Amino acid sequence: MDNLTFGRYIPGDSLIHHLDPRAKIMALFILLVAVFFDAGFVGYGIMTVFLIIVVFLSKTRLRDIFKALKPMLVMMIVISFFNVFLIRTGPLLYSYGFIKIYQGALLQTAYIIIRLFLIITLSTVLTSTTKPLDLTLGIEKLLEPLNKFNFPSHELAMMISIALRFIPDLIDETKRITKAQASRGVDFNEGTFIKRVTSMVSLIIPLFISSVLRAEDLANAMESRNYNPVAKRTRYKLLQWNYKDSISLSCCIFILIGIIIISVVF
Amino acid sequence: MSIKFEKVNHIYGLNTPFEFQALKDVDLEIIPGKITAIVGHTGSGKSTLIQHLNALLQPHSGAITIDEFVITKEKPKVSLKPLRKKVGMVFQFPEYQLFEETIEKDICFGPKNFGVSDEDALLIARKTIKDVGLDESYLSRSPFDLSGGQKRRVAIAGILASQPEILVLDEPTAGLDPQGAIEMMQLFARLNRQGVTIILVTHNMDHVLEYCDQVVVMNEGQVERHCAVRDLFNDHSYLHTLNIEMPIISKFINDINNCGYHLDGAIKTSDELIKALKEQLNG
Repeated sequence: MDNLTFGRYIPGDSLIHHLDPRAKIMALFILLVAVFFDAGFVGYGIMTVFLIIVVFLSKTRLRDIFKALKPMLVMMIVISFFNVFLIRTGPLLYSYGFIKIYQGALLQTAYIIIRLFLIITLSTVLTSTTKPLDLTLGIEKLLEPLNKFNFPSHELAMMISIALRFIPDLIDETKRITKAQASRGVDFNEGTFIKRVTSMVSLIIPLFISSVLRAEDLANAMESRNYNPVAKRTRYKLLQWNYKDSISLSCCIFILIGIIIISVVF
Repeated sequence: MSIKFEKVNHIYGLNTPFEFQALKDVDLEIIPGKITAIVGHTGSGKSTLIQHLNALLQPHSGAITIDEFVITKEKPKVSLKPLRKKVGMVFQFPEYQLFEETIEKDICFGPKNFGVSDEDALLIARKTIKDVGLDESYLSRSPFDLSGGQKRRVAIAGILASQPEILVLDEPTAGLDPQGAIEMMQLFARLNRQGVTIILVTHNMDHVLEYCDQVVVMNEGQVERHCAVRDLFNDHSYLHTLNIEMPIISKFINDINNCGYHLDGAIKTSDELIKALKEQLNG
């Protein structure tokens, strides 16, 4: 259950920690766009080098990145499996009976794996260097211009921050119920498939019930304090944009432009 | 039977910025067949301590011995099920662990996991629902239709159904009305007379005085004191440093003795107190 700590803020004192959350969110967005341009291995090489520099600057421990990658491993394996056997483009490399492997399939698969790796690592850097509340504040500020079109940016930010706020609580609750059921002889790791399904039911139902109760309590608590989402409010924390943010963001834009040029030229 | 902690250390979030040592070199031997209370402030390590008793947590060093089971930092080689059957664990607010459609099924869940046959589990369910003070008609109802106190009873019945030899309870009376709390404590006292060793975490000193034999005082991850209940409540200066409030009866006896009476410090219940007072006043 400790694996669930991925995506968690890790206090630190690095350049990336101190960047404005708006800069970080925009940077992530720009880099994600860059990841999806097909710039071949040269492009991914550049991205990877840039990523290594970012990870180094953010002082994110490799362990935390591996932790984030671990749950994705199964997905990567499944995706690679289907891709390798089902994509039929490029020259045929190998065939045995009905199994045929094409060069295009291998390339596609490699791309997908690299993309996943880049996306997960980039997001991990963002979440581990930015406090969840700063993150939502950043999202809210970035979406504010959309208010003109009746977009509920504050409500959205509030929902995100509530959701984030309750993740640790839900993890604790999960741990608690897991322990309570383990005390009643449930073994979550062993037994037949049917047994495991019952084990999960004994965990999911109590978790679901307590989440619903909690949501109700929270809604009541907010309403009894007369919470009004459209009310004008001031902020305790103000975001400050400085030259470091501009420089960082420019770097990311350069990378994106570079990747676009490479993908168009080659 | 033996329940023994030897030099037990437990650290949460080892090697992370959140590292916190919850237990420090805990040495403790709990007397079988008694009711032992574990008291101490929030964050003193009480809950961490008791979760070692059925290996929900493993120590980072040291060992816990429960009869033939030895819990150390090594991954257990044998199945933990026999240990978890022997040591029943009732968490705080156990009503949140209910999940079955009927109370009967929920009570049978534990015993069935421990390998009891379906028919025997039903017999046990019928017996335990009465033990916790509800009647058989409840068995076919949904646990989610009950009141908070009744849910708590059903959840505790779910643990008792596994027929543990050691029953560990984390604040079992928290959030119950006074009458419900008394009934709950009486249930544990009755189980204890039937031979079950009871270990309970509580903040209610009146319950400690009236129902418990031994008391363990935890402070900042260490066992500060382990003694008979009356020895703790007779040590006023120590209680004062701990910032623990005395049970009403002990406080009353203390106050009245300061006025020149000589009441026995071992008095536990109001009935005993009235009897002693009568003797003093008439004599």
